[in-house]
Amino acid sequence: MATVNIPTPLRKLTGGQSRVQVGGADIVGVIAALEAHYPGMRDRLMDEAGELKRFINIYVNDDEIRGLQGKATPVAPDDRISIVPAMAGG
Amino acid sequence: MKQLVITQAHHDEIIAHAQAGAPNEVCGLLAGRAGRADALWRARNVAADPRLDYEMNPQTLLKQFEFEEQGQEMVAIYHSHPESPAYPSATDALRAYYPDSVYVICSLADAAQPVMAGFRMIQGEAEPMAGLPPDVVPVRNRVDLLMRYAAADGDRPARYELYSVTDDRRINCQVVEIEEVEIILSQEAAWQQ
Repeated sequence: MATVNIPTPLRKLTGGQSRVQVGGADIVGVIAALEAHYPGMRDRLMDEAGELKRFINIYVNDDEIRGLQGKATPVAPDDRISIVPAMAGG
Repeated sequence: MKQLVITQAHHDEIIAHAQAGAPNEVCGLLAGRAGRADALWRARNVAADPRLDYEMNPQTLLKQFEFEEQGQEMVAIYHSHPESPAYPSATDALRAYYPDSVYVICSLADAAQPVMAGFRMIQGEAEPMAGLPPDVVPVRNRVDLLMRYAAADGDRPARYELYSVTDDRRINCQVVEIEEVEIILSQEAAWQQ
């Protein structure tokens, strides 16, 4: 199972846990597994069309998935996934 | 009012970073413990239009987890306003995804007198609306967002109401509360860098 780093704004959904372990062969699978364990997670990460929200970044180890294969990026059991909302504004 | 303690050196470094980056906005992180910043990290602003917006580069975003592995936390996110006041813009409120962190804004509107202020921004859920209130105003540089601002009133914090219009003309309203955080300057050197 991959390890997922949960950012502070999403820890309400994980009962305060900063790091969780879930299965999933790719990012879509990891998000589905997160949703199964921590309902509400999917809506925080994806839009109604199932695309990753513009201001959510997901990393496999140190690489942001938009530079890899997006939500189809494969995930190995020893990978570290990090979910990071943007820090942005005007 | 909540407080954020930063060293004079970090305070001065944020101003120096803002001045060096002008006319673009700059951004960075403060790590520490219990509302006290011990370390400063400059980030890169990767926004498409860095004069008007900031968006922190991906590798700096990941630092929040490194801080926790070291027993620290991300106490503040800073950015500069080269020409506007040290107060959150509607876009700042729209993108305020970290309600537990203090957002520090450094204004260079008065070049001779940089001003720094801290805020917490707490986003409510977006709610569908039947229509737009009559007194909403467009948000600068955005075609899909309108807003209404209310200053603090008694116990009620200041707030933005952000109205977004979707492609199929649905209207959602999100309330973002703005609470001021007092920045306390410590004369001590940071004990950990």
